[in-house]
Amino acid sequence: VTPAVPQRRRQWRPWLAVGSLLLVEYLLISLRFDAYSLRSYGGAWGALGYVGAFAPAGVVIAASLWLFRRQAVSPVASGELGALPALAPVPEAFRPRWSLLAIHALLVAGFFALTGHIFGGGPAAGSAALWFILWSALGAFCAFTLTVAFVDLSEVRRWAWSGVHLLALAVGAIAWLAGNWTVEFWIPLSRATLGVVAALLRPFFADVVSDPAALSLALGGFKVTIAPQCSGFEGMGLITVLTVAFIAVRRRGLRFPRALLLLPVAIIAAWVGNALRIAGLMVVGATLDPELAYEAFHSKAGWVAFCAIALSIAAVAERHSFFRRAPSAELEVELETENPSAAYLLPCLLLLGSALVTGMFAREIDWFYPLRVVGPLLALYLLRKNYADLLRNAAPARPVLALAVGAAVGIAWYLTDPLDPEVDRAVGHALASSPAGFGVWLGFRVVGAVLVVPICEELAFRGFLLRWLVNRDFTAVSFRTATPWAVLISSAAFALVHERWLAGALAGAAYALVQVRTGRLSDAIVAHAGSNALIAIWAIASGEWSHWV
Amino acid sequence: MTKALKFLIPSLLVAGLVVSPKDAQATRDTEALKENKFQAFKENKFKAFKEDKFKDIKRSRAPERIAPSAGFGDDGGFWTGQSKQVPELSSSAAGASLALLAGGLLAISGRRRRKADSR
Repeated sequence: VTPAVPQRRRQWRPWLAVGSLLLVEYLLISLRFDAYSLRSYGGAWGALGYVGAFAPAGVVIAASLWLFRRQAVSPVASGELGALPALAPVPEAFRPRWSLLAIHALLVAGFFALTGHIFGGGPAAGSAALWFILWSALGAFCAFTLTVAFVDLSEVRRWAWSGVHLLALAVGAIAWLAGNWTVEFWIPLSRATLGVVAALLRPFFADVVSDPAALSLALGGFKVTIAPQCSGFEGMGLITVLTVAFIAVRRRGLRFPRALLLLPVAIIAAWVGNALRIAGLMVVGATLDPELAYEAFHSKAGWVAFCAIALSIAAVAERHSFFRRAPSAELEVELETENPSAAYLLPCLLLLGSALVTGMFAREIDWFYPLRVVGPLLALYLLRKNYADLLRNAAPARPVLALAVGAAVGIAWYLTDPLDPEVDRAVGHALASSPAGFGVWLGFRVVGAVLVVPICEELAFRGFLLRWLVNRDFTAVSFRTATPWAVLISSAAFALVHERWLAGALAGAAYALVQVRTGRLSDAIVAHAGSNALIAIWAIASGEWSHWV
Repeated sequence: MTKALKFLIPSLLVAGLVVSPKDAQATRDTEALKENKFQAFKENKFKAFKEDKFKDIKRSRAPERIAPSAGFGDDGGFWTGQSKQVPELSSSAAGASLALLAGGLLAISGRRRRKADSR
């Protein structure tokens, strides 16, 4: 299968690779070292303790340079925004220059050591300014070697000499300064959020007490203080990024300027959603369990609200004729068209969505787990006609190989997973206090782990994503086809939905290889089911529930 | 209009990035630079506490309803201690949400094609 990807889209990839790797390196260094401790020292060394405050400036300016690079490297003569060449020649896939990558790796190792020397403890011997200059220069050289390892030097030179990068630098710097200035609004916004939350609660509860000066709110015996970061600003920033990115990517299907209305709508919805989240937190804390409110609801409700708002905005933009350009004649008759991506993705999306929602009300044990089984099963049933092609070759080609790989993954997963005595105690208590109720829950848990989860996740990550990364018309891609890039990205995405990211990524890669080796999705499902079944049996038999619950 | 959008869209993206969550150290450092601002904020809270605006509620709300483990002050009283610092975001929920968002957007914007049986 020859990927039919327009040239301009291909041009994203080297820059994306550079940005992603730089971000990973930045996070690794940021997580390992903390400049904060230097603040207790005076003079120049003390000043270095504030270097972290400028890290966001670097990220924002880098993002700005990347976003504006198109105007520099491929000036568009056409006046139409995002006019893509209809039949652009397909360039060769980009390949990193491995020798430069090796040099970059050595430089990063040196940068890591130097960072540790300067920021890892107290002041080093010598001048703080000289160490800082050396550190900055080495950091910049690291970024340069990574860039030229992926991007043509001529393109980098063209970009560097264009005037656009000065504009990008200015936009990045102004945005960073403006972003810091928005801190001024944190407290007023928190106060407004407090007012909205109190207004939402008062019709239903008589004992709502709010203190705008202290930014505190109480309902019954449950009290919260609205921290600045709970004002809703972060959600508004995130939704801005997502909505603008969505508008940019889908611009050819949207009507301008009205599509820009989506932005204020999304921002207001994010703020209101945050107020609803805090109101929900108050209700859960006051009427159910304060610990449940703090530990489960508080940290998950924000994500649920954010996903709901973002997906609603996208759905309205894609479906409503107010925002969407008139569809082509081919798409006018909805009954005659289908969206194969949705059929592969929806069961898994329901699985993830229901897990997020029930997780808001779960501590050690998710008592609403049956909902995580019923929803996806219903989706699979309703979409069954879309799987006709899959069902024609439903039998695994090499079940023994699939089960062997599944068992190996299951054993490795179990042995590397640390025990959580609290969960073991909670399950033991639930088993002792209500054996029948626990039995029903356990039945759903087994069906979920061994049947529903493998089918839904393999449909999404191997059936769809692995093949979609090879070609956007993924149904035309054989199950035997995969590129290293596709295996890497689909496994990384699979890791995202597992708490143990590295183990999840390795498991995902193993299932992908099973699919490619056998040419059938069903073999990957069998391998995944085998892993989950083994873990379930082992946990039930040993009583080490925390490996599985 | 379209030329303006070419610059507006990247600019808005950059602006949005700035107010999005940052890593812990950077956020803390930024906050430290704004120390005076937060000092005033803390003082306001302390003032409210000193004035004990909620003394009536303090009497009517039974302190025993507020479990000490919930973090309401050392003496279990009302308004007498810092609220419990709770995790803002769950990392596992963050990963699942990102996957849900990406998958949802792909499903919503998925390519439509003619059904095989209607060709």
